[in-house]
Amino acid sequence: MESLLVTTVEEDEDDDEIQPNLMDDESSDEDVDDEHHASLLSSITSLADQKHKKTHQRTVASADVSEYGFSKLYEKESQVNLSELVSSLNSSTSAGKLKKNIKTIEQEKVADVPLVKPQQERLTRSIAYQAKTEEISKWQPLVQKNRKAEQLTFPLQQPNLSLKTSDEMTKRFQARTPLEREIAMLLHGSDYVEKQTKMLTPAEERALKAMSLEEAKERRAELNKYRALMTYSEAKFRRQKKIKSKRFHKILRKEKLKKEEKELDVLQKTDPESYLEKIEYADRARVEERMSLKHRGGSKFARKKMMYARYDPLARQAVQDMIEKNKELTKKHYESSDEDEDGDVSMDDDAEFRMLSAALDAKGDNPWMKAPTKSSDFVRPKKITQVKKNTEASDSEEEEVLTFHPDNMNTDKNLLELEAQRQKKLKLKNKTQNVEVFDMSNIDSSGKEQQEFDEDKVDGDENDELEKKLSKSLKEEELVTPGKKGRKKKKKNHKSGEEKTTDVSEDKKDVEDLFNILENVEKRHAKNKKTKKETKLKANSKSSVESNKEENCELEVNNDEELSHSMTRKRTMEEYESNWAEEEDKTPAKVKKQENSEESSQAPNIKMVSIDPKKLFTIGPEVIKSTDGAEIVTNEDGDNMLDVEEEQRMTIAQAFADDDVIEEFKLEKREIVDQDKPKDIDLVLPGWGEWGGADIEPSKKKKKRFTIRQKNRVKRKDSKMANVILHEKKDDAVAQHQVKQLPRQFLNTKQFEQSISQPIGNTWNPEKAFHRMIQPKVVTQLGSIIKPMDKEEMFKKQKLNKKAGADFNKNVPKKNQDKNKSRKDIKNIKKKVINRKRK
Amino acid sequence: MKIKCLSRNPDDFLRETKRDIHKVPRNYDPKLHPFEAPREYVRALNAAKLERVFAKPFLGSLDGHRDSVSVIRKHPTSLSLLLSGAYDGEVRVWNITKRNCVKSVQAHDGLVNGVCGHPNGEYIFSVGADKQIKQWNITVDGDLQDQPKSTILGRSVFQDIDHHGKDNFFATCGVGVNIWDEERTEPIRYFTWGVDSIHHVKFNPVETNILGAAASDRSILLYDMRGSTPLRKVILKLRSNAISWNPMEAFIFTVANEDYNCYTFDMRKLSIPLNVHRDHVAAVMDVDYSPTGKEFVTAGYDHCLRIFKLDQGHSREVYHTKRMHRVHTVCWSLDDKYIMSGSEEMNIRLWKARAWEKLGTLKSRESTALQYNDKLKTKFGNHPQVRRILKHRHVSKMIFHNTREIRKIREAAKKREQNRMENSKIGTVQYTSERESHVIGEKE
Repeated sequence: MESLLVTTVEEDEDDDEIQPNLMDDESSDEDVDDEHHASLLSSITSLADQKHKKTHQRTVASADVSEYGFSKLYEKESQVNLSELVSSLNSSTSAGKLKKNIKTIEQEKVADVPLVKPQQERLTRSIAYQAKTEEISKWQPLVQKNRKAEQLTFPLQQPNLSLKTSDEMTKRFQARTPLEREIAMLLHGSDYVEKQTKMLTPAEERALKAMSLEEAKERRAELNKYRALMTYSEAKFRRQKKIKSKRFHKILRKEKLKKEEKELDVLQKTDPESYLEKIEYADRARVEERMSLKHRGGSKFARKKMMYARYDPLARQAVQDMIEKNKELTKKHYESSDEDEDGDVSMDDDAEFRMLSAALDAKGDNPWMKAPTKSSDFVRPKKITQVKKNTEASDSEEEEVLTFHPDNMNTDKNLLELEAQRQKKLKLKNKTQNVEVFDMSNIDSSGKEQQEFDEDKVDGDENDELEKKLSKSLKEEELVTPGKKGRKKKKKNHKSGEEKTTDVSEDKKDVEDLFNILENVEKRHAKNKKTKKETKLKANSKSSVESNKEENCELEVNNDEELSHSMTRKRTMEEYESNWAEEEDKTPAKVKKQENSEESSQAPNIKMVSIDPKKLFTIGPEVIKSTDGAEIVTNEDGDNMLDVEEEQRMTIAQAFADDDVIEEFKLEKREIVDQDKPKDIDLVLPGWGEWGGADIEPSKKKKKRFTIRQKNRVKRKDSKMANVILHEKKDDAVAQHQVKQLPRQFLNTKQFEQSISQPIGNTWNPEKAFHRMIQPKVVTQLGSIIKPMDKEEMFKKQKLNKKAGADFNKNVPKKNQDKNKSRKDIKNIKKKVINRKRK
Repeated sequence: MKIKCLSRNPDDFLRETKRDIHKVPRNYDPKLHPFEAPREYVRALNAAKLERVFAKPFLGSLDGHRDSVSVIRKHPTSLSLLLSGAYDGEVRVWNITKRNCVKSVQAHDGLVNGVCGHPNGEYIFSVGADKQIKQWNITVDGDLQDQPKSTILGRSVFQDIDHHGKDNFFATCGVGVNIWDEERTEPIRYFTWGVDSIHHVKFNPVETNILGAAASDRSILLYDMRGSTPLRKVILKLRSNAISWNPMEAFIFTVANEDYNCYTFDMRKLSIPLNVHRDHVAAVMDVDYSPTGKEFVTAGYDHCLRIFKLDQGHSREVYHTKRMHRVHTVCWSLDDKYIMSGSEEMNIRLWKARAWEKLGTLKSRESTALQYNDKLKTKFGNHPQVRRILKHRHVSKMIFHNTREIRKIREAAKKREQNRMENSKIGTVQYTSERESHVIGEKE
């Protein structure tokens, strides 16, 4: 082996050649020769010198520079396998540990040979560079944004100088003092405090949960109902408030009082203490009123009003109001209620009644003079009484005027007033005449009728006959419209009548009759009212009841006449209706007739045959057109001989038949030539050196002398070209200022021209637009350091967003990771299985 | 009878005081203004002329150095302070507003290769040919202590130094790039890529861990401070002298090259520059971005400064004086208003960033008028007359002739290329764009 070593050291390059020889030598080494041995020894002795020499010798690097032949390791034939080495182990039973180790070694995968260093470095560099480019690419959107920005103001990160909003302040607030803490506890701990994120407080939510849907619906419906009722009542009160009638309001007030009294009665029974209190209060008010002269002409205001009362109706009214007030206040409430209970007619009521009746009768004596005679005994000034009289008279007169208009009967004023009276009197009657009341309830027709009825009664049962008639008529009415309440007025009745007509269309005549009756009744009612008024008038004039009666009769007659008139009118209306109906019936017939007329062209009776002249005219051309079309069609179909081209030529020739293009061009050219020709300059001054005037022309001689003649220029370039116009006027001065190439940022010339033609100066633009347009692209401030973009600042927001996103997506990547893991596991297992199989 | 008559409120048409501006009622109907465009054109012409009238960029020079200025750097927190280093090893601090030298120290033996300030503005670093890194305390007024706060002795010459934008790290270059922690005297990281001598290094101001460096093997290198290896290398045809990162666009940087051009690169695609900026007629020595990131200024070996817009191939401005020699270094002030240049003839010069701009406060009407004029200039900038006026610059004879010569050379080369293409088999001679032609290759 040593010789081997020597030879390899000696001859490096031809190692391969020598080695097999050596191997042969080795094989023949068994018979050791002395010679050989000697030579070996000599060679060893000479080794030291040679070695010294060889160390200085440079050798070329090669894969198989090895004394032990390790280079052969890579050659397959010489490779020694582990299995070969340890094959003996299989037979032996000992050395189990070693066996195990070998097994594990066999199973383990051998790592790849590491790359050469430069390659390795290149890889790491490229990987690092990739990572860095990716990292730096996140600036791209920001950079793009800044490049495209209309305006950039540097430094980019401006300090935030804005004031903090209250919201921000509250966020920063911390409760420190005990009081603050307590309040905070209340604010944040309570269920009744609203939170920003939720619509409802916890308490509200609980309440909502507690209530079922049906209940809620019910409750809502109820609430709606109440709301509706409230609106109705509101509307009612508003309407009532608008009513100008004083009387109505007076009555209302009275009613109110009555109600209060009733309530008092109830109170007396239920709650005597409060009742006493109320009584006391009323008493006190009464006493005070009696003490003072406030409402009795004692005050300065009252005295003044009394003075003006003669001339001013408003003042008059004021005085009256005052007196009313006085009366009200000085009335003894509890006594009357007591008497009411007893069932006797109370004094106050009686007085009131009298007063009202007087007011209605307007018998000259003032009601407010009469009424308080019992309660108060002060003497009123005469002036006012007179005034009152006058007012009453005027009122009545007005009413008179009103009554003669049948429409006015419907006015609320009268109605309400009368209704109020009716109610009053009903009470009276309740006490006096029960039978009558029964009748009333039976009749129960329009309020007016009842009023009249009552009124008549009150007046003293004088119009018995009239009443009977009325009742009769009413009954008739009831027969006609049994379900209807009689409160409806004339118009309403009309309506009902109409409805009837629609319902019962078969027997028109009967219905019409009924209508007549109804209308009669209505009219009578109206007349009755009139009569009532009339009676009032009569009362004023203090005429007898009989005369009244007579008058009534007379009026009745009149009424009848009037009614008949109205009936005729009505009938005409109905006639119209019926006419319409008839027309409707007739129209189909007419149509038929028209149809017939087309055939027969007779029927002179029919006026409605509509022959539109226009139609007649339009039909003609259509027909002609159609014939034309047919002709054309035949042409197309039949004449295939005609060339398409020929046709086209013809059409073009037709189209340009009128305009001579060539001639036009010639003209154009001539014009241009003329324009470009230099013209003679006429410098003649008429009147210069000779006579001048309107009709005097300067002499030819002078003209000739003072006109500068232009010399003939160089011939035009296009003078010999008939079909060409060459413009010789090219303005070089302008060209100097014109842009020759389209600038880069524009797509086409049009765009560029537009950009130029759009001015930016404030001469042509409003100030704001101007300022917007001249904004500089980059704004910097003198003396402020512009720092480079700060990475943290710029990506602060993005980071926050990402964080939120990450929190949201946290589960997803985990799952993926798990999946990957499991995949890897599976792969490993598979590999193992494969390895085993190979084994 | 009611008589209708005109009644006007004097308030509508009279001014209250003499200084009020007359309220001019106007009808903006375009039909009434048929000559809008021509009138604006005339205004634009006038604006262009006025711009040239007011274009006086040179503000003053700071003299005091006794040798050529090798480097000038901005003070990171103060607008009025300027740091400079010279070939005689002197470091000076200047007050720009007062135009005086606040302090000068003999910092190094041999030239000062680099100066930079700490972002908090409390101390500065300088490297010199004497293999030393020196840290100096600096006051708010710019006063330096006579002795450095600390000194690090390196194994080789440091060619340049730059400070990390935020943290207490700085980088030096020379043989490879070293990253230093301020606390330690040994570099925390050492980057090499083969055998290279790097003469310029610059931190990215936005992505503060990335560095760019220019090496003398004509390559530009990118590093990540946190990594163990450089990121990438791109080799140009000639050596790059300086590199500057855009402070508003993190991945954009520009290099000043020996071949008279500047190249703007996107860090993510180094195989081809985004833009080739050319106008210099000699090597470009230094480049610095405006803090707005829209423009940059270059220092040329051809005795002039040029201002380029980021997206334009030609300079918008050239600054030169009769006495200014080769400009070694340049920087753009942090408020975007001034430019400082240090040149061979020992002077530091102060320029306006926009030559025609009026400095100081402006009345609102004045500023409106100026803005309007600016807008007009851009609007009518393509019209030949306006363009001619705006483009016209008076340059030195040398630049003028050299420009012409270079143009001729370029045209000839182009022609040659075209001829070659025309007279050779189709496909054998490929057309290479101007941008492609300057890059030799990108190394991973």
